[in-house]
Amino acid sequence: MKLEIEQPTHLVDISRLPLKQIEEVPGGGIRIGAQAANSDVAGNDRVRALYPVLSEALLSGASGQLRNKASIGGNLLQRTRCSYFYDTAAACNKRTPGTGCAALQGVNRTHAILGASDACIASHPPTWPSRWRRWTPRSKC
Amino acid sequence: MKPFTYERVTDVRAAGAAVLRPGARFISGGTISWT
Repeated sequence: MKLEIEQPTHLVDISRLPLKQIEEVPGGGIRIGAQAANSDVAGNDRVRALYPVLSEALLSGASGQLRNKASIGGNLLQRTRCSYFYDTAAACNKRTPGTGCAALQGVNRTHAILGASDACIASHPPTWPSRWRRWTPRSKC
Repeated sequence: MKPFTYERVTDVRAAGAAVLRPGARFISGGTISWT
């Protein structure tokens, strides 16, 4: 909004919805509410015991302050985009369809290989997938 | 300045109804990770 890339006329703040639960479900697995904070999930005893990779992935993303504010739902449901999306002087088909993709010839070391196209090579930015992809057990560091 | 209105909802049903308003968007938390 500050860059006027998105210009909503009405904002609906869902940060106070009662969706912060982290609970085991019958038959195995765990259910995490969309409003659970990244830091709460990472530090949850069940998550740490059953899904240590998830805990590590979340702790490797952003800063403590951001992890305290970031929600699991908001994190996973971010729009696929890259830094050129925010640069209004650069071409970006996702921001302005038909303008091109500056990332194709730009700084693109972290961009998509799979699922890319001539129109866009942005990768999905949330913490979980990108951090899981690169996760290495501490014992091997 | 681009004017906009804001509301905070506390139940899922209200959230679903509120976002039907033209030009409405949800806002919540999230982190980025490109590196």
